[in-house]
Amino acid sequence: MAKTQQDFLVAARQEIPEVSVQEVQERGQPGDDFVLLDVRENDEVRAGYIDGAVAIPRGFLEFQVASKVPQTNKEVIVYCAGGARSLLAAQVLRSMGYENVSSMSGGITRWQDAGFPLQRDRQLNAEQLERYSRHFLLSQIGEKGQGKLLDAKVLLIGAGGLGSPAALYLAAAGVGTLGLVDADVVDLSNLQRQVLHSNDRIGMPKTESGKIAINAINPDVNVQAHNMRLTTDNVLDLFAEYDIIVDGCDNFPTRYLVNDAAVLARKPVVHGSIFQFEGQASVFKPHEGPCYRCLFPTPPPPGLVPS
Amino acid sequence: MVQATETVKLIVGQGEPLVGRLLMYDSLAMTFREIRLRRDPNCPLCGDDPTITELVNYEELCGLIPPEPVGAVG
Repeated sequence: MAKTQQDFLVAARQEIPEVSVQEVQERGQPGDDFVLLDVRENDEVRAGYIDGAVAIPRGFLEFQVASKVPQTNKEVIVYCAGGARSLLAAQVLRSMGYENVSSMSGGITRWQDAGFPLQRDRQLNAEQLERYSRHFLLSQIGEKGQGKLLDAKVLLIGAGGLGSPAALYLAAAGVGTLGLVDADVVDLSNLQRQVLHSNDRIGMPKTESGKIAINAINPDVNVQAHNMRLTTDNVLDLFAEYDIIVDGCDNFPTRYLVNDAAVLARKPVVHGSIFQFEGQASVFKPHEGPCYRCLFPTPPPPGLVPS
Repeated sequence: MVQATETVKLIVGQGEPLVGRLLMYDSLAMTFREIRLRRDPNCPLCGDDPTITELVNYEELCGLIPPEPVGAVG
């Protein structure tokens, strides 16, 4: 005789201990101690989840759990909407070798009824869900990471050879605010490498040209065109509006200005420089790693600087 | 590309960013090299006892007299 839903649940309840929402709440933030595993579908998680929970839809449980919960001796508390799917998921985990698995009785519905808080990621619209869908396949990014990208403010110093590809990729990835600082206009001789610009925008300020290119790729991005030279008078006010500085400048005064201002303002700098066929990159995170002056305390004499 | 990737990693808080490392790329030889960098406790800016506590004149610092435009082009 075929088994019913009830048969499955009764069997699971005999095998899997259940914990109450109060007990889970009293345990505090999941982490080193225990894993809180949400096995609902993505759209259910989107509507709200318990802070610190790891999400794996039940259909992907067997495929993803090893990468998200590597230690099988770690305590895992599973939850779903009402407490049924989590019982069945917990059974699967146990058969996979997870030693200490329980199911949260009543699921997130009872959690909410008890007045406990829900965490909600930034809500993405239908177009964004499709645009960034490939990011969601990457567990390191996911919808949560996409929310961070959309909330991020990145300032690009220079909309030229280095700034161009950085701007295009960051725009495509959905960085919500991109600032462009450049005082130049687009020149025909720029176009062989500065892929942010185009033939029909020769003579236009690079910041304006960049804004057109970025918005053509991704209308989600708010582009701030700072058509000016970076100076000691404006740099700190400008940096204050951004989270991360991407340095693609082409001269030493600006490089030292950017470095000093970033350390004073405690903003990380994603450094890049190129000369002919060679390039260098690093990340200068103030006080966590070196800054540009740790490497080169003072600039080279002007005669040695290639132009 | 490398800069964009590093920026995304910093934003989402994943992976190992190039903090304390300098990546060097030679496109003719098509080689990537990496050197470890350490924060210098004697750095005049971010060291333990910094002597630079405000912005200075950067044209002068770089020996560019008269000052040249500081437009960022790349």
